[in-house]
Amino acid sequence: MKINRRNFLSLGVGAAAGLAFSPIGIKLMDDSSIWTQNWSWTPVPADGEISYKDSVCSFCDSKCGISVRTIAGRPVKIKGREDYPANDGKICPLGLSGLQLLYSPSRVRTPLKKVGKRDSNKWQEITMDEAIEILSEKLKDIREKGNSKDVAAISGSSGIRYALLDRFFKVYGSRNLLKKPSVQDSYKHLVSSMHSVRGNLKFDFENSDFILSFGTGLFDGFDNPVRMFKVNSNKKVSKATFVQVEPYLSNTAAISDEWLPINPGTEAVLALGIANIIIIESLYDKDFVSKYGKNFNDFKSFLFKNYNVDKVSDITGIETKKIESLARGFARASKPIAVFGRGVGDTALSLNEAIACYSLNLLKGNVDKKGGVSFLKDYNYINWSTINLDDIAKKGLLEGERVDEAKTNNVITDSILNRMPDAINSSRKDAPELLIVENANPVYTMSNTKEVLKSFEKISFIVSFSSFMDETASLADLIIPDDIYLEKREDCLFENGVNNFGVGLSSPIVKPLFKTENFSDVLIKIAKKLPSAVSNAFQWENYSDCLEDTFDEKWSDLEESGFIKEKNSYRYVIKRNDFAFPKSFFDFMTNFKSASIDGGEEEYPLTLIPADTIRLSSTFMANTPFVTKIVSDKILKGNYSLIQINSETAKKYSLKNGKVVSLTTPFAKDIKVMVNISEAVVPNTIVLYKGLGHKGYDDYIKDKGVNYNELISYLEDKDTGLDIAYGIRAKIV
Amino acid sequence: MKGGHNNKKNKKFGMVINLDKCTGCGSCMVACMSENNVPFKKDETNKLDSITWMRVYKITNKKKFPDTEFCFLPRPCMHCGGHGDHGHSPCVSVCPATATDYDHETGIVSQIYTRCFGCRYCMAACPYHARYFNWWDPIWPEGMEKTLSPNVSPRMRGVVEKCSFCYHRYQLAKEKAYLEEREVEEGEYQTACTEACPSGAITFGDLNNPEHKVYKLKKSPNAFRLLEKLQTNPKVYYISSKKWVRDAGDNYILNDKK
Repeated sequence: MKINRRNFLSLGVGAAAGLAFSPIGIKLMDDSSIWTQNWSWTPVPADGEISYKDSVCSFCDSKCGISVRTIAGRPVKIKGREDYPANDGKICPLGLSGLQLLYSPSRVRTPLKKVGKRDSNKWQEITMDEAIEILSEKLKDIREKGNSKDVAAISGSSGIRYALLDRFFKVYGSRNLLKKPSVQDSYKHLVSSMHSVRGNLKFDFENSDFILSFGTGLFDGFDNPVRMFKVNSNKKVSKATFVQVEPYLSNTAAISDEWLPINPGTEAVLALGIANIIIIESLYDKDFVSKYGKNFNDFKSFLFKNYNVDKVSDITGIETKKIESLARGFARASKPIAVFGRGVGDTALSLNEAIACYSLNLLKGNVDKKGGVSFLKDYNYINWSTINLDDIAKKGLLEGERVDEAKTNNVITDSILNRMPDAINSSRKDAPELLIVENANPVYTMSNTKEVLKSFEKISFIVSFSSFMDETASLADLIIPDDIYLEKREDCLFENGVNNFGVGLSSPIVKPLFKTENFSDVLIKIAKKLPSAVSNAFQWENYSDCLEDTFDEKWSDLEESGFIKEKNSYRYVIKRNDFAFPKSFFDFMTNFKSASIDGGEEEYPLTLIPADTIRLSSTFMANTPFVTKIVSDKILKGNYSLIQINSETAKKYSLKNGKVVSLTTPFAKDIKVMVNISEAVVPNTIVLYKGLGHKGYDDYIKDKGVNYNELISYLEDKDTGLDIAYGIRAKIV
Repeated sequence: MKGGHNNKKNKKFGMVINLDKCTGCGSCMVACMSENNVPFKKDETNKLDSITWMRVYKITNKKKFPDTEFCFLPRPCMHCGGHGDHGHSPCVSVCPATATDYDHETGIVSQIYTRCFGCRYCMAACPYHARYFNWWDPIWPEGMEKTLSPNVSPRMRGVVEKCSFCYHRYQLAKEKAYLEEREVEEGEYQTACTEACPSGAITFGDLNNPEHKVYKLKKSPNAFRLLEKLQTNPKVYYISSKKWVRDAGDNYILNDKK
């Protein structure tokens, strides 16, 4: 065929039409996208039978029930357990991401012995038996030398695990079992000093109609976060009023009915100002006050003299009108609650400030009532046989001194961990010969990291039981890794559940993945290797045996249902007749002193304060990758922490959004942070989120941002000895 | 138009999110990532390439201190029905590979990863930024790939992904119901975010079914949808008692007159 113009065109059109109607184009496109996507490294998860296993989450003290979906035995998803009393079907984001802990790159996979220097990060892998042998030999030697008092432990546990450790320290002969205090310790002090009873303070938010929060992060992770979220949801239906007094617009403030921005550290002054107005306008519960309150007239004149509304307005930075309407709103509600303790309650509050805020509850007589505050006894389900102390133990307990200088006669402050670094560094106390760290990460969570590190250098031997290579573990001389909660059976005490308290039982979802062992089992094994004076106190074969023995006839119930729920709602646990209040009187306060803030105003013109978000864990456990992923880019950007600063203040120091600046406090110099200009912060204040700045763990959290604790030092409450450090003076260059 | 002219009444799955209850905790985001094998990187602070099928936005009333207010707004895929609810979603209309499709039986906009060749037209078309591109192959730390679910295929570099209303959960529920010769019940098919929300802010169900909770909730006087002016017909409704929040829902051009 001759190719002429006509043929050429018709062939062309024919080919085009043919191609257009043939599937080859689509097919090629489809194939090419499939070919370019069939990579061997794209995982194909194996299929299998779906089943659910119940257990308990131990990420924090709330101890929520979880239900783990497994596929052919492989755990793939965690959700809240429907019928579990602590959390009633839901859990927080950290709990949801718990499976990432199992395979976390920062897990300690085998017992490790430090080779060379403390900070060398060089390790020798050893077996579990070797590790137990090393530790028990050390303990034996120290006890034989008569230095049992020089063994210390920092623990973050509760339940049987803590009871075992406590028992061990008693029979071994040391008083140095330390805990990091929190706002719960402030509450216990308050209850003890106001009403002369031992108990914790509980707030019945569920039934209250007006909640005035003095900076408490009610919906940022305070108490049991799931319980608090439910409180919020129900309040939106029952139309109760929430007022959040806080220097910045936290999530809690954002979902409250009103946010009252207040100058940092002046919350208690506002409380006293409100009390003054309530008294002047005669809006308090006269029956209650005259029946139970002592010193009321002194209280009245003390307030009248010192806390008139204009002065309070000056100090707090809140308009007088707003203070007055807040006071009236609070006083006219039928079941108002004043709640206090800043943020999620990681740190304690001064007793003085706590009492100032608490006075509002007393004025309204909303104490030991539904919808008010009440007191909770320690829940104890552990009744073991008494122990016999030998002479060494007696000597250690009688003569030994606390390395944190906690007083023996003060039963409430059983631990002032914050004082330990200074006591060691200034040689007031000898450093312990041996320090055991379990469920704790003091190098990260304690204020003034430099001092903490310095004091740790003087401790001869540090043993960590961490499951993860955290800051403290990486400094340790020996790591005996614990199973994580998804790998073990353990009793889980919950004291702040949704309407109740009790104890649950976690059960292993998978067998331990690595060469790890349950701390309690290791402790029992070690005790058995020590002289009979110690080993006799541990009559159980292993932890499992101890568990069953502890719960005795309740064991089968616990094993079957996974929890024991106490019948009473915790709000009424201590009935009126059970304790001194309100049979006897309480004293109203007659003097007040605000907690000081470190640093001179001349040199440091700004105030730096911490902030909490539920998307950042600031406890001894670091964030999981999923939870770090959802942290706002206004809090963390690249490896920089962002400071939140008011636009007016930013203008004054010519700061621009996204600019990297140097932050200096009296305790840390030139810390690089990024600026985020925000309308959500009071002027002259810098807000920095907690939970960042890890030097341990893995690349998903390590070296990201700044640890707030490095920027502050501890500040001691004169009444309780607790660390109440909150804000600090700062400057920006 | 498969299923478009079925005799049986079609379902229209959707969500009503009560913003008054949302505390911004992010449980929905984490539950979603864990359910749907969403990958994570060492640095996720560039939110443009951070894959979150469900994202909780923090919106502000734009007022100066101290009158500032925040509101949290969870944003899954809106599963738009398009103009007239005929299934012409913005993304479906532009996809040259039919990698995203509108299912008339459920109203769910699907995403078929193996068909997608990464042109990202759909991302440009989506007014809600609900679609994400895999710029890298996902990498799980050693061992962590064992926690992946077989019900959702892991994605690879070069494809777009987005919220599926946990469609695999519907499939599982449907299979079970089919075996037992009955219909899928409301509680049987719930998305992972709905199930996880500790505040109970998210309600999920069939918007066409008067028996389902969402049917009533969407008629609340405080209910609104995002960018309704675009007539994308989203299947996600929001409820807020705050007027500025409801106004912000349609605020696609600043200072635009309503």
